[in-house]
Amino acid sequence: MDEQTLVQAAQKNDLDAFNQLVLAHQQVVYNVALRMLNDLDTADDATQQAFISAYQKIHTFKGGSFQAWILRIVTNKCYDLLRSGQRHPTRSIDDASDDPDVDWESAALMRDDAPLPEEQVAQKELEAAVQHCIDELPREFKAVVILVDLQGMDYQEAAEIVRSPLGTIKSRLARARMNLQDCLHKFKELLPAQYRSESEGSHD
Amino acid sequence: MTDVTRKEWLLLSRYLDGDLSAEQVRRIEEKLRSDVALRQAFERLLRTRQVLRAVPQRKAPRTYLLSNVMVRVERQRVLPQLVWRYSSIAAALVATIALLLQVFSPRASQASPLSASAQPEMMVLTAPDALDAEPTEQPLIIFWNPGAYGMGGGGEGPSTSMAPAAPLEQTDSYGVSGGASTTEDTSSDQGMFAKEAEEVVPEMADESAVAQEQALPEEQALSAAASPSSNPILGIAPPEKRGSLQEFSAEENLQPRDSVGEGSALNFGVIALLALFVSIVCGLVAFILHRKQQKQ
Repeated sequence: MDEQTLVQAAQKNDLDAFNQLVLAHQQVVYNVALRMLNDLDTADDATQQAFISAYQKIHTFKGGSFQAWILRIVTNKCYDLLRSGQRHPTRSIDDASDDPDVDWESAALMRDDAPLPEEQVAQKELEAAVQHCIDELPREFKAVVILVDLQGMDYQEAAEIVRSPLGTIKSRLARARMNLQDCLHKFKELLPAQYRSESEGSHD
Repeated sequence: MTDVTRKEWLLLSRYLDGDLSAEQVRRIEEKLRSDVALRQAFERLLRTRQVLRAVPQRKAPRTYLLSNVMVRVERQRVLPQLVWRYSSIAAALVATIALLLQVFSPRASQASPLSASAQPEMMVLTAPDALDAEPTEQPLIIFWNPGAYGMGGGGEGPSTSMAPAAPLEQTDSYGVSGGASTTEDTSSDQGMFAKEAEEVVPEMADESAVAQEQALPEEQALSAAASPSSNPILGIAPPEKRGSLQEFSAEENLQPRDSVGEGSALNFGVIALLALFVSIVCGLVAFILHRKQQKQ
């Protein structure tokens, strides 16, 4: 069944159809929540809550991209959590590397071409540096850069998800990249060699 | 930013994402070839995006499949919060409507003579210039006779200074001097009271003396009550005027009074206040429930 048919079935209270949509989108939803919140447990809760909310509001979905719709729900959930300060900073992404419960062999990286151990270390360092810099961004910038640069969406999708005009998205993304470049410059030594260059430095 | 402006940075960012028109691409590529600073900025931007795109995707720790129980539990969890929230909104609407009725009701918009005369002291203290103002309304005089209701009350404020005996005789009034100041207050009394008030405030010691002087004619009036012909005792009308008083009271009862209008306006105000209170309480409960759910 294609996505449109599944949505229509879910709108008729077909939970199985909705669960197929969950399976198709849970990865991207979880990753957006994780990057927004930088906390494994809260991201897990936010993802679950987003899917429950989506099922309860599925009758309000008027067509278009289901992924954009569900990402809007989870982004708003994350905004609420960030606003109310209800994050539990007990298990951030950085800490998870030391957590014995996390199976890094299978869970950390979902790519089929799993990197070598030393590459894994380098990637963890890069991930930690990027996450640190994302956390320092203003909330609005954060969502845009996560959607466009980390999730690979285009401007139009990002605009639809955060419900902002295209021009705003472009401007926010440019400024977020500027801030990130400054921040990442502090982690220059930690970044893998291919991301460093002699001419690299702050833009100002 | 010294070498690259924000506008140029925005253009570079859009160029990187392939968001520029052909003409814009041609111009910026030309500039990139000639401007070293811009080229370096572009390289930094390119590298930043490479770093961001190199961040791996995390595998979700579990599946987020929904069950009927989860959906039902969530619905039950949210229901009380919704009830409180909508109750709060409904109460706020009622408060707004009641407030509008209170403000725009024609009766309520009329100035209440009762409330105006109830605060002569404040008028004197806050607006001394108003002391010389001409009285514009006839004072409300209560006549009392054995067939009428009640004898007035204890009143408020300094009764001896509020209702001196002199006007009692001049106006042929039969009101009880110790009655409510709001009903016996005459315009001349207001003036007198105002003038006295100026003296009373700084000279509290003289107050008792003034009170005794004013009480004296009242005592005379009381003693004169023994005479059946004059009969000014405590507002008892002479026999020839008692019938007219009865008619006056009956007519008064039949006609709509301002105080009735004021009562309804007051009710709207009370309703608005009560609804506002309910709205705040319901909103508070909804907010607490919401916070609780977020903590869970």
